[in-house]
Amino acid sequence: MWRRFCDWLDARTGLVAFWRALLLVDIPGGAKWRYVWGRCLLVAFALQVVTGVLLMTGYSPGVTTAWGSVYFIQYEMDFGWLIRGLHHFGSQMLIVLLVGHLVVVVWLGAHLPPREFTWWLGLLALGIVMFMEMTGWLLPMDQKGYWATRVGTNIMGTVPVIGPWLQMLLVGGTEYGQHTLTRFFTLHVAVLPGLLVLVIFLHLVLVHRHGPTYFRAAPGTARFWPDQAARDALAFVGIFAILAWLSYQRHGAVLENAPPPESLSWYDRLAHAGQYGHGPPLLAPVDPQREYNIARPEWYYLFLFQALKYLEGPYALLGTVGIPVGTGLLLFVLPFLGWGRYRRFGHIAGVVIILALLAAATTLIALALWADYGPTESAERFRQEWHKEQERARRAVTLAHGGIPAEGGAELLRRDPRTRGRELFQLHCGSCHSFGSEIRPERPAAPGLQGFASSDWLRQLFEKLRDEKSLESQLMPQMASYVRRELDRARRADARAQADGKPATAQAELQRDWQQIADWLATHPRRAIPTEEAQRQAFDKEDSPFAQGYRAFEKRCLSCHTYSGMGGGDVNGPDLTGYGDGDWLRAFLHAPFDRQYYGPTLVRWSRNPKERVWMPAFRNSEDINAALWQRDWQRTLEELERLVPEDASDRDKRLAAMRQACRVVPLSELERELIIRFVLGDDRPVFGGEPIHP
Amino acid sequence: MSEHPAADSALPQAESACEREGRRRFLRWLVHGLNTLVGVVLGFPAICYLLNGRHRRYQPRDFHRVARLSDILQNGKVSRNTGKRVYEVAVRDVRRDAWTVYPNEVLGRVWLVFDPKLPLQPDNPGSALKAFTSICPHLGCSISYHPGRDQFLCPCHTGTFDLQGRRVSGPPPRPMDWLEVRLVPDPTSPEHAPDYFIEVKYQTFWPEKAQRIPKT
Repeated sequence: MWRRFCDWLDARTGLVAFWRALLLVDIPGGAKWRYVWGRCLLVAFALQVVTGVLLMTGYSPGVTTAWGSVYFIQYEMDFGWLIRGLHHFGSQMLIVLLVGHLVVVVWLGAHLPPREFTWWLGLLALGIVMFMEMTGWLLPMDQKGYWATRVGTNIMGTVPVIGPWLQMLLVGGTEYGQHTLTRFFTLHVAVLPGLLVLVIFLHLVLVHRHGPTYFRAAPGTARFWPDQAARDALAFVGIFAILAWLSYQRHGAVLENAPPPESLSWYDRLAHAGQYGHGPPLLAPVDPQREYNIARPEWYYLFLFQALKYLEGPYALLGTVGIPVGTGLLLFVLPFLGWGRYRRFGHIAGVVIILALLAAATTLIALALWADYGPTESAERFRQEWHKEQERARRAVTLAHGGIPAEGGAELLRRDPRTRGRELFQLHCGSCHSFGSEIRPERPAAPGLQGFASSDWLRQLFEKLRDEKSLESQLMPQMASYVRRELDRARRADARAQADGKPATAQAELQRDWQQIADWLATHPRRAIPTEEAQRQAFDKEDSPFAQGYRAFEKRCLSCHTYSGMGGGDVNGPDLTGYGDGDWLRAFLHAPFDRQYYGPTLVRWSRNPKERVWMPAFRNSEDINAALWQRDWQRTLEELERLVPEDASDRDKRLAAMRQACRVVPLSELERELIIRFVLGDDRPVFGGEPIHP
Repeated sequence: MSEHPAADSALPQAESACEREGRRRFLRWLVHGLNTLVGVVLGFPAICYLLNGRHRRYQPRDFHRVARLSDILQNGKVSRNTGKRVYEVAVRDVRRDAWTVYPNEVLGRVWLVFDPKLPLQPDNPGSALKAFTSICPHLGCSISYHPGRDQFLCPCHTGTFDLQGRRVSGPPPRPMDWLEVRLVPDPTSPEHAPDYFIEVKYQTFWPEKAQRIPKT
């Protein structure tokens, strides 16, 4: 049946005969491992085509979508990490195989006449592949590819006369943008592969025309099928295994919020191994607003990168144009060296030239790698920057797991409280407030905010208030005197009790109450307290943590502080309804000098002649409500002014100081939200339906 | 052969040919085996990769607030024969499309048909207030309202439906797809004229089926 089918097919198409003619060729001298290069190259290219087409089904060439789509391929799609890994490392393998093929060809003298055109087509293929690699870097729109492309296209721009035009053609304008990406994409997936297929085809036609070059010295012959084919297949399986192994290595960033692998089936663990860092590298999305200090091409371009370091001023052109063109020309004329009776000389010269070029390129690549990974200071800087980029990449993919806004992947990190929020905190708050051990102002003028409004933070605040000289005591003199007074009173009560022979409980009770209050405030309480008599009585008997906490709060704090419209007094401490939650912070940042917060303290503070920084208000001055808030601010000031006694001798001075203290610093809604979430340890990115306005 | 270059010449010809044939058979199977191996190692992930859309199933949606009852009465088109009000609304929700999240995206449009003559039961508004998706059950075109004829019309293949959603003419295999609808009192409305929020549970259904089968 099969035979009859083959006969029929062959009779109609000649396909079987063609296939036999290809496979059943004799190889004089026997099958050799050194003949595998060309065919391995073909299969490796085919692998690039297959994986490339697969990637194309998931890729989206747009400035705002490219990174997201590549992220999605590698981290969310089944085996996307493997497909992209094979393509990523396969492209590098292509370079290795091409160079290997080239060296073997020259070693065998196969580039000599009459095979000049075969050689030139091979060189052309090498050039096309090098260009294809370059166009491929940009496509994920991550930091590395983007900056490598900038440098690459600028190098192209240095070519005399046509350079600027070439650059404009490639970049699609003078700025990098949508058209750069679509052009690179078209070159990478259509134009260059099409050209490459044509060149490979012509190359093969010529190989067929002139016949292969063999070492005829060895005795005996072998047939291509299966003797040489087995070697080819083994070699390719080896190559494939290397590529698969490289892809499985953890080059990517680890998703912090990936499900624990133990909870997954073997299939999911393997199909989504990208989430655990397996797969090719993917850095954070391009953000031209951030500096990127480690622009490097892929390793096979490092020779040019390194050469450019040595060539300054007018010699730069030598590096950008001279070296590539010179090398190309040298390789181009290689067959002519062995013309006619100079064949033997040409062969030897060719081998020497190729080995010399290889040695030079290897040395330059090694030097470039040494500069980045050796034990030098600049290498240390490089490694630090690289580490920073890795961190950003990890953060970016972790955030992307929850979805990417339509504005693009770069927006993720711009809206990340943990990284961007920290930077903004450092910028706007870090000159007064500290945050942990990393953000430390030179002269702290306000409390540290790590763990703000947590139970521990509040307990520590109480501890600090016991010390008369502490920063906190100076900032909140009334609160500090209350703390010390209460402690003193409890101590005396205990001493009295001991003298009377009764159990001393006052100090312990005070500490217990404070602990209870701190725990209660750390929950950011907002629940209203019933005012009606019957409900109030029921509430007083309630033994929920909230009710117990509130009772302690009522006993100790409510004479100064307000809560839910209750309490307060002459001292008028800040309102503690929802203390330390997002809404409290939002309103507080909007007007810290409001009566509800530290306004009355400000009035007393302004009596202090010592110059001290007062917490400014942070508001969005571009908001449509800005004018409204301006009026609100005026009203607040007038209110505060009324608190200063009319007959005070230094009234004018105090009013001036107060006006100066009530500064307003412009801060956008987004930035404020980022800072708030950073302080509260809320890691959700600020976008998408989340409230920004107070 | 390169491993044993002397083998061919040293051994007798017949034995050598036999041995060579045996080895070639082995090599043939080796090549086929290796090809299959690469095919499977590449092919299996490739197929899974292409079929990954199975992870992105249709997301069931909860009830969404689409309008107030007063909106229909004020702005709905009035049917000449029956006095019913026909009003079109859009359903918005977070939508996730592969990697992109749209926080407030239109999921689809819904036709609301309200009969003011029938008594309104806020707990069970089904008889007076009906909701239909604007997706034609035939091949998924968009259904519009034809006020002159008091009919819903799918302009693609001219399927028509009456205001109850029943098929009148054309190729659609089933009535218009109705959606669950409920009323929630609007606390801000005055007591003498209570208003309601209309909430619709949005869903899409497979086209070209005689039954209304939700997409999953």
